[in-house]
Amino acid sequence: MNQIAKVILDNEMDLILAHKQSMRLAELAGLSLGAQTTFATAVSEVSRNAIGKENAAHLTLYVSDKKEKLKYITVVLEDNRPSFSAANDEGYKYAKRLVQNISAVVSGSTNRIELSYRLPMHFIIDTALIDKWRISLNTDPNISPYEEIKRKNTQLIELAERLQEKEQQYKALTDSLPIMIFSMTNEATVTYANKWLIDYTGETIENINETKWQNILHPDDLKDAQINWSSSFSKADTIITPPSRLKHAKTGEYRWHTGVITAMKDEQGVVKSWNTYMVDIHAQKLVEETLKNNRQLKEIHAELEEKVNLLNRSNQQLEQFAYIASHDLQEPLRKISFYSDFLKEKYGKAMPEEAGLFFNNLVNATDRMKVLITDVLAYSTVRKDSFEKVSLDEIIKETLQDLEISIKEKRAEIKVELLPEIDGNSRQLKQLFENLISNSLKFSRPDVSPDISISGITDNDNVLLSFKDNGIGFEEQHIARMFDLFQRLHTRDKYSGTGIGLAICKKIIDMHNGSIMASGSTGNGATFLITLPLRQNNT
Amino acid sequence: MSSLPYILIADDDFEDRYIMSETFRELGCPVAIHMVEDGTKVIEYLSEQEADMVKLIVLDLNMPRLSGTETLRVLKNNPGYKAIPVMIFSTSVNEIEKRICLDLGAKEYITKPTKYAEYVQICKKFYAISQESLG
Repeated sequence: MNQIAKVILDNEMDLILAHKQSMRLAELAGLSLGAQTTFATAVSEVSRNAIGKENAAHLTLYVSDKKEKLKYITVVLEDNRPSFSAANDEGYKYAKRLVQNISAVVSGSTNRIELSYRLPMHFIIDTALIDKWRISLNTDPNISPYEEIKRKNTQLIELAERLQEKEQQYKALTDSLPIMIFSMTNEATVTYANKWLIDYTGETIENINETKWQNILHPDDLKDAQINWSSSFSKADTIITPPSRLKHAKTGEYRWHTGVITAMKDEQGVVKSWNTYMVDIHAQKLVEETLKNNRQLKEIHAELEEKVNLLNRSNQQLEQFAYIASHDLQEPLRKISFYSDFLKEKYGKAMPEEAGLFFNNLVNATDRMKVLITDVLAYSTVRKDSFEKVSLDEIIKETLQDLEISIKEKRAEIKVELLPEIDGNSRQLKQLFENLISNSLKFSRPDVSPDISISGITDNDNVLLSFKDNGIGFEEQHIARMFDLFQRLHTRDKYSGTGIGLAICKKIIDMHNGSIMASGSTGNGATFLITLPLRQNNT
Repeated sequence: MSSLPYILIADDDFEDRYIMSETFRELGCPVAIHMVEDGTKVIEYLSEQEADMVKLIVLDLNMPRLSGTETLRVLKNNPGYKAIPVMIFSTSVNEIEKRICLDLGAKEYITKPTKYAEYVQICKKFYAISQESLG
């Protein structure tokens, strides 16, 4: 340490001198007025109980050597007070709160109290400086302590005024910004909040501190915020907060905000308070969410498209298979049928009667297989075909012509009302009507000639067709599965049929983007209601 | 070289050819039958024989190398052959194919039956037609 000056403490005036010299030393060392006062006060506090000739107290003022890493201004008080104890001395205890380093050593009758105030890190000490200080402290002009205090007072008042001015400017500035600005202590107590924050949250500073932001922060963000803020206080200088939702008092709406928390340090680099700035990013967050949703939607869309493609391919393959299988099965089937009949014709008489019966069974089974394969072939070939304007009237007429023989045989009466034109595939629609009408003819009551009425109601977009007959009907419990493949509702010996007819009807109606519904009860006939769109988009 | 009038039958199925020839034999129709396996053989055979000796051509449709339809087309485009009656005798029930063959000039389109009795009748018809062209 380098000695700068000495003060002998005999009386009150010396106390004032000691205060003055300490202030001067602190001033020369570049400390702020506040720090100067703090340091000088600390010196006064330890010194006030030591004054008196009998104590032989004196102060020595030092500054650190330039080689030392941490630089201080130091004051050492040495005296002979008999009953000094650092623990009991109020002055000592008070000074301890004011300066960074303080120590008291009692050895024999001598007391040595040393207190030091840290200088800013950037402060450079050199020999020239030390000499200058010595000169300054030891050859100060004759200003009385009173005048010294007066001078310092004036300085303080000026400072206070400047401070007030700056405070007002600061307040005006922070109040004019559409950003939340507030200051907090190390314990996260809010000490200042700008107008924007107050207006937005509708809370006072007291409220905020009492409720700890519970009325403002979204409950989901509250916990995270508390963790973040308390961790940031122990860490760095500047923290960027993650997006949090703050409630806008006027609308009750939570809006996304993000912010910055900055540490405000004093000259020693000790954090004294935290300034926080929060800005509204609600719009951006919504855009971000929308983009994310869009991205997710795009991904889901792509996945769906791929699945649809796979399904389409699979469907195509299945249709191809069904077509090829039924097509290729027809040839060997024909041979079986032919040979069965051929054998019967050629050798029937030479065979025992039993054999003849068996042959009949063979032929019948083969015929049934043929019908089945034809039906499966028909089902597999119903696929998306092109649409054109077709007259349902004409298609029904053609169908009735094709079924003329059966109709005459059964003495059936068929009533047809006027039907509209629609977009459709005439071949498929003819198949549809043929299946339905021949079903009605087939499933007629044994003693009642079939009565079939076909009508249609048209609205803006669709035509609702009704096929009603007076046949044997069906049980309600069967309706649900009626249009499934291979659904037969009666035993084979009562009514022929493979059970594909209605499945083909449904497939054709699906191709036309329509719907079919069946209703009826046992013994009371059946009604089929078919909805078909009037217009189609030709793809 | 055939000096007898004959019916030229094309079918790629061995069994069908056998049944056809057996049926004709049983019917005892006094007409010669010549069988080939595909359309190209039809053209080949005609070029080697005297054209006016062939009284009827019966064609199956599903044949390798040259299908029934294509053979028909070739026959009807050839001034030397187009007068010969052609009957299509096929397993196919395709309406569109039937239309095409009739438009190309086939006399008739007959679907191969599964009942032997019908089959016999058809063979008789073939014989009758072959006799028509005589004289």
